[in-house]
Formats: sequence, C-alpha cells, structure tokens
Amino acid sequence: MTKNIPSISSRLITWLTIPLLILTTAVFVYFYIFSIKKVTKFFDNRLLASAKSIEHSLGIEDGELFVDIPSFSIELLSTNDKGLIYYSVIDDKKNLLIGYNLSLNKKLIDEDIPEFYYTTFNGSKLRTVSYKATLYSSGKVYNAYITIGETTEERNEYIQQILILLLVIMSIVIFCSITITLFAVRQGLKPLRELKEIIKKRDEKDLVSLVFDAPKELEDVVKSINILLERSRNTIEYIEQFNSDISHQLRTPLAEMKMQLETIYNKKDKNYIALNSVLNNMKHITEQLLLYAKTNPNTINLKRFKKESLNQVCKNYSLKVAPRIYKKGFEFAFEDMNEEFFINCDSIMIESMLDNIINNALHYALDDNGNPIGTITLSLKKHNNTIWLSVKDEGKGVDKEYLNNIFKRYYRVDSGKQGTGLGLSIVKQIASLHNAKVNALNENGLKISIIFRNKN
Amino acid sequence: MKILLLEDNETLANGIYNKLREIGYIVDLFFNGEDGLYTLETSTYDLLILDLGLPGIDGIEIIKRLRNTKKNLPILVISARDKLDQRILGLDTGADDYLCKPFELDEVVARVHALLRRSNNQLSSIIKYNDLVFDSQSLILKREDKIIELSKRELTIFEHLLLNLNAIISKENIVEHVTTVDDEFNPTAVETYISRLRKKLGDSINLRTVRGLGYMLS
Repeated sequence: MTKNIPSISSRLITWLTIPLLILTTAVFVYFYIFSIKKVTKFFDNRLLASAKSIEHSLGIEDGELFVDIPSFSIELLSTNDKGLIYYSVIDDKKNLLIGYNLSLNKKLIDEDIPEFYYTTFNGSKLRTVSYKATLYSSGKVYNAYITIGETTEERNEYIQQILILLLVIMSIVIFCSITITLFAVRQGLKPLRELKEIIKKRDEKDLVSLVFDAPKELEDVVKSINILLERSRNTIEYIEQFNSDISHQLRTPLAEMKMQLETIYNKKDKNYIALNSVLNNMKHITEQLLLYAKTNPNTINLKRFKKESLNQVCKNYSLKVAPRIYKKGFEFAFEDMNEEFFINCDSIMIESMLDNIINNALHYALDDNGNPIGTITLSLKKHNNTIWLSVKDEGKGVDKEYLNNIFKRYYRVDSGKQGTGLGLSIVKQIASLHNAKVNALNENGLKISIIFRNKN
Repeated sequence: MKILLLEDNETLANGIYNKLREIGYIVDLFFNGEDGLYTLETSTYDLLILDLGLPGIDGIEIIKRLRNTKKNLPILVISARDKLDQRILGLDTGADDYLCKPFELDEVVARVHALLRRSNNQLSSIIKYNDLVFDSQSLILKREDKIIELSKRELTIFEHLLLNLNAIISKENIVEHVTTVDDEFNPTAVETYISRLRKKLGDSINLRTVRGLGYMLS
C-alpha cells in the first residue's frame, strides 16, 4: 500500500510544475493571438494604402469613370516582396475599369467603409479589402468599387517567425521554471533528508533521543519521535528492572530451600541427593530463562555496550574459567591471534555466551563411560575480513543432520540428558546482539564459532 | 577468627551461622544494616559476610562506608542479583568476593577459607601444600623436614604460584612479580624455571601449563 503513496517531492514538483505549464501555455496563446492581430492589422493598413492610391487615380471623362495608373505603379501594385497582388475597379454598371476579372469581386461592398476579408483567386488564398469610392462631377454621382487582394505568404512568414520566437521563449521559461522548482523542492526538503540520514545511521537498538535542529514544520515530528524513544527506553529499563527483580525473588527462596535441605539431611542421604539435584536443575533453568530474557534483542540497553578488545575479554574470561574446566577433568587452551580486535560489546554478556558454549562442551564431550575427553580450546582467528571466536572440544561432535538445529530454542540433541535447551540459543542471541553470526562444525569434536565482521 | 554475618533472610542466616560455628569460627549475626554498621564501628572482625539487600542501610552503603574509613576488612558479598543485574543497579561494589544465590554451604565455607587465607598471608609465613611446607619469611622449602635446594628465583616463582593456588598465572605476570625495574628477565626464561621446579619437586606438585595463558598450581 505504501508503494502507491506519491513522495513529497513528486507532489511538490507536480503541483508546482502543472500550474506553471498551464500559465505559460496561456501566456503563449495570448501573445500568439495578439501578434497575429497586430501583423494582420499592419498588412491590412498597407493593403488599404494601396487601394487608396488606386482611388486617387480615378477620374471622370465624358461622363464615364476611368482609372489612370502610371505603368510603373501597375507593376508596383502587382507584386509585394514575397507574393502577388490582385486588384480590380468596377463602376456602377459592373464594367471592369482596371485589374483582373470580376470573379475577384465576389463581395461587392456598397459601403464607404473598407471591408477586409479572405477569398481565393487563381487557387491562392487572398487577403482582400473592398470599398466603394464616390466621385462627383457636374452634379452627377459616380461610384467605383475598388477591390485589392494580396496573397498571404509574407504575412504567414511574419507570423511563423513570431511563433518560433514565442516557442523559444516559452521553452526557456519552462526549462528555467522546472529547474528552479527542482532546486527549490530539494532545498525545501533538505531538513527532511537530514533527519532521514540521522535516523538511518543509528543502530536500530540505539534509543538515545534524536539531536536535530528541526525547522518549525518538523519540530513536532522530532518531538514525537523523541517521546516514543523515551517511552521505549523507559519500557526497556522497566523490563530490565523487572527481570532483575524476578531473579531476586526466585533466587532467594531457592537458596532457602537448598539451605533447609542441607540442615535436614546428611549430604550422603539419597533423599538429599535427589532433592538437591531437582533444586540444582531448577536453579539452572531459572538462570537460563532469565539470561535468555535479559539478552533479548528487543529489550537490550545499548548503554551497557562499550568498545573493548575482544582479545582481552577472551583472555580474562579464560583465566577465570580454566580452573573450573581442569576441575572437571578436561584440559584447556587459549589461542590468541596476533592482531588486537576491538568491538562494541557488553563483556559480561560475551562471558555469559562463552560460559554457555563451554558448559555445553563440559556436558557433551564425554566418552561412552561418561569420562571427560581431551582439551577444550578457546581461540581467536582471522579469516579474510571476519574474526572467528571459537570454542572447540574433542568429543564425538554432533551428527551432521542435527548441526543446523543446535542453536534453536529448546532443541536438545540428547533428550536423555538434563538441560534446558536454551544454552546455545542464548549464545546465538548474544552473538546477534553483537552483530555476529554463529556456526557449528564437526572438527574432531564440536567447534562452535561466533563470527564477527572485521570492519577495519 | 571472628566473622560478622549480615543477612536478613532468617533461614539463610541461621544456616550459614550454624555451619560457620560448627567448623570453629566465632560468628556475630545481625538482620539489618544499622545494627551491622554499629557493630562494625565498635568491634573488630576478620571477615564480613554481607547480603546486599538488607533492610535499612543496604549492603552497598555499608561497603561504601567501610571503604571510606579505609578498613581492610575482607568482604564476601551474598546477593540474589547476578552479574548482569549488578550492572543494571550500578553495583560495582568493591567487595573481595561475590556469591550469587542459591549456593551451597560448602561454597560459603570455601570462599571464607580462601578470603581469610589471603588476608592472613602477611601474618603467617608458613604455607602447607601437599607434603611440602614453605616458609615465606625465610624462603625455605621443606619436604618431611628435609630442605629442598632451590635457587632464590625458583623459590620466588614457586611462592607466587603457591599464593595463587588454583589460579592461572601468565608468564608476563611471573616476570613482573620476580623482577625489579633494572632487572633483565626474558619471559621465555620462565619456561626454564618452571621445568626446573617440576624436576626438583616432582610428584609433590601439580603444576599445569595452560596453553595460551600460563601456569596453574592446583
């Protein structure tokens, strides 16, 4: 649905350009008509002047009208610059006194006022003027009907030139208007674009208020965004607090139960062993569920992320975890890489993530009699532009068909073993919080890797 | 050894109280912060076991006040908050050790022993390890009353490992610990000293090489 909504810039461009185009076209049409009128009037006046000069050569002799035009004038009358001129003078008895045949005089005007009109003669379109000239002699009235017409080539040429000029002017005006419109729209929408960039550049988990000098029109939008962000922040802080309170509320009674159990029973009592195992399982489930909730990407608080050396975080963690691994009967090794790799991370979460992978190894890297096998190796390695943080055990690994499932929530390869099925999905969740991917491989044992993108 | 226990949950408090008394410690128990703080000001203790969520003056406040008066009293914190919660609540306590609920009494006892041993190292110079007896004051190592001949540097390294039992010590850390500013000492030389220690002390020590990290005496 959103696809059909036109963009603000296309709306602005449309609503600025269309009226501009209509206005320009109207102006063009007006000037075009105005120019045609002016040109016609100019040429008509010239035509009338020619007619008047014929009128001046009218005379009366022996009670008859006659026209006396000098021969050079006749020649002058016959042509203008581009076209031809046709003329005729007729008396009351419809005798042609001079000029071309009568068919020219289709419209004999019985008026003194000259009348202009279009007609055709010899297959050419003519602009013609006709009027009645009256002469007086010896008390008698003599009427002469003067008609003069010229072909329209010259007029057309003038009109065409004006048309071309107008078209050129109009094109320039339209081009300039569109350019100015585009520029203006771009300038006008600049704050919107800047706001978009600021929002785009932010990490999606970043809920810090927007800092943006918003123009008046955007002030409310930015304010609303910031209110929403603040509400999200508050919600996240509330959830964090809630999770923390739940931990507190659940752990204390668990601790009490364990304590009661120890006071009532001898540690070797089979009731103690059974109940303690149930309690330990409950403790583990509580911890894992809470950890899963606390590392949920939707409720994570980026304030807790800091730029740290992954090498150092891993080394510190290794120092802490190694004694526990040896105690369980495994060997441990840490393989650092030469290069220092810095990431924006929550080191406690990274440690929880590694704890979960290592607990997984301690749980599964056992031989058929349940005895620990080999070394657990924590390593950092560079592959092209990725950094692999891996934990490898020397157990039997996981069947190929199950490898893709082990990061799924509540998935357990061996349903006979105790566990929540959350451990490796927590690993995946924490990895994705750090924009890293997870990978599981069988490499003489199970190797679980967290793959970070190396931006350097 | 006198221990102060501040815990508001009666079941937990009594459990820990009885256990510690059973193994021979003198224990004072209070259920709130005010009483605890008052007792701390008026009596001397070797160790404080503290629940962070005390009514009245809470655990954090007690630690702050203690550290302000520069008391070197070792503190074992007991809390139902895990590490992630801790940071949410801004609790970088400055406690010496931290135990998250639920725990087993044996764990409490182990931590108490460890903390007391660490703080009393200055007092007692005799450290026992398997069949070895080490006197850190005179730098003498004995097995069944017979002195084992070790160079001074070997003894210093052994002492450092012994004081950090069950913890991993890196080569760099050993170098830093056994040398002075104008002393030239190469980290690779540490390997030589470690192998000499293994040769001379044999089965008496469980000294592991942790690849990539360092050495651990356990």
